[in-house]
Amino acid sequence: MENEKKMITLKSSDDVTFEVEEAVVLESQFLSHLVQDCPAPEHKIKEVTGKILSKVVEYCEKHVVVVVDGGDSSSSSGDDLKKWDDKFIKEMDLSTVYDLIAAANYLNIQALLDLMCQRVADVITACKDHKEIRETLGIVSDYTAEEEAEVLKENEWAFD
Amino acid sequence: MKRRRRRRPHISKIPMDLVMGEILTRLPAKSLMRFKCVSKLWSSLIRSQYFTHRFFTVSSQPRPRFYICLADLANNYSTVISAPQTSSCFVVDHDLTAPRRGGYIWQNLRGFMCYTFYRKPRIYNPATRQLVTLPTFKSKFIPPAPSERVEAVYYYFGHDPVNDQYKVICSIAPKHNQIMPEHWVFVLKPRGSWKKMAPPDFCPHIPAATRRGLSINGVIYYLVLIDLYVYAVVSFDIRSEEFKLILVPRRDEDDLIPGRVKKVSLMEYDGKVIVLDFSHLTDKGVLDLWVLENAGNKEWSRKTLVLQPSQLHLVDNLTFKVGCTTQHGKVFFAPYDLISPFHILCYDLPRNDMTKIEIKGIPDHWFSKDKANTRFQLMFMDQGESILYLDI
Repeated sequence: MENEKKMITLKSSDDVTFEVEEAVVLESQFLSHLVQDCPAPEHKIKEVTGKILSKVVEYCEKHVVVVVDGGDSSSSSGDDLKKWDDKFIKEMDLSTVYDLIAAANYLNIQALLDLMCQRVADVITACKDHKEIRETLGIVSDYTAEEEAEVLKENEWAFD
Repeated sequence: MKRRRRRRPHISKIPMDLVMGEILTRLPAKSLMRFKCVSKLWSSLIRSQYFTHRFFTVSSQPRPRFYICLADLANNYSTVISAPQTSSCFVVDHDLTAPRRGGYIWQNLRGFMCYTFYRKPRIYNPATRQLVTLPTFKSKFIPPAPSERVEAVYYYFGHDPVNDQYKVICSIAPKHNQIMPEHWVFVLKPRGSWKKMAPPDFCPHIPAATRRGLSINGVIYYLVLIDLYVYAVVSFDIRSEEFKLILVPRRDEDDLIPGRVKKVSLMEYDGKVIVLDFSHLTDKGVLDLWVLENAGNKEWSRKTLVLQPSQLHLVDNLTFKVGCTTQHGKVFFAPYDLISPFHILCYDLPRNDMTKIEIKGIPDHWFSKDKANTRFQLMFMDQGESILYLDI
């Protein structure tokens, strides 16, 4: 049974448009307030590029809660969704992850924010030493050689 | 041929509050210690009060873990091993043996383990491996020769959440039956020192044999005896540094067992102080509880818990000591001696359920030592990891 679904158009900062069901938009706290307060058919999101918005839409479409006949509320089964999330983040470079964190924070999509932040945390946890963390995150050291030797000695145990 | 490395995106693309609040709090403490070595800026951010507080309160809880201090008095050797909880038992996976680790545990609080090793009180953080040794103080009760033991020295550790301040109090007397102990207080801060306190107005008293104190909502609690039979709880307000004495009531039908012989322990449950009397655990399968409902009005309630009949065999003919307690109403009873295989009993107070748990992986040689010279103590950590750097 196909009901008439309300469609909403989202437009990115670089004018890429995405036509999505209203339910998809409701995954974002920010957008659900926006569509309630301002019932226009199209909403421009100046802070998010088309490339990132396409990822956000892809994520929300997968996670949207489907109300099936009979009133049962279910999303795709938990395991499948977790597998999908794993694949979703695996294919993504860190730069995209950072942009998605900013977007998920701005659009207030907590589950996406959690997923992306956990991804960065996992990448940092996997770094075996401080040099690898620096390289991965693009951090420049401001330690002098002596200071670095001292702090390394103090935390020596954490490197085994 | 070497491939040119692509320039990595800088983490500063993410707003700083998200990095600190949402990403770094998800790292294990060990990984954060590596992160501190990245740059001075990150080191200071990770050590900041804001972050350490946030890490302690929001980071995912690690699996509960036992720490076991083992001491071989004959050979002057002590060690600490630790075992995380698995579904049915605890298995030792970690040996923290290092100089000045081990000794007599008196408390654990907010991820810190407090113990005395060679007369010196020490605070150790297993998550950061920071070990802080508190300075000594000059009391007329401390003999000048370091080899001479002070019989009755008791330390209690507390945290005041309002000022986010830690204090240690010490009650010291030359002998266990000395009824006029001195009281000293130490504020954990840079260049901190011990300060002698005016004697509380409720002397005489002697600290009870159970040495472990509690710290709840800015107040330290510990158990004392005010005469042969009467227990009391001393409360110490960390902010105002005021002592109060709260008598533990007796009921007429209670046996008149001298306090020193009674098996009593102090525990925290549901934010309240509980005096747990397990003198009749073995012979009757009974636990008596005095719950301090309101410390201000000195109002107590009494509960008697009777073990389920099917679980009585667990306590039959064995003598136990309270190994440690948790904030979630669990009491761990341990046998007096190390026996292989090593079992402890876990009593779940709210569910009135006693279970037997094995701790596996204690090195074999500990079981073959002379029992009279072997000591062990248990500590259960379930309060989460702290990365707070103690500066004294």
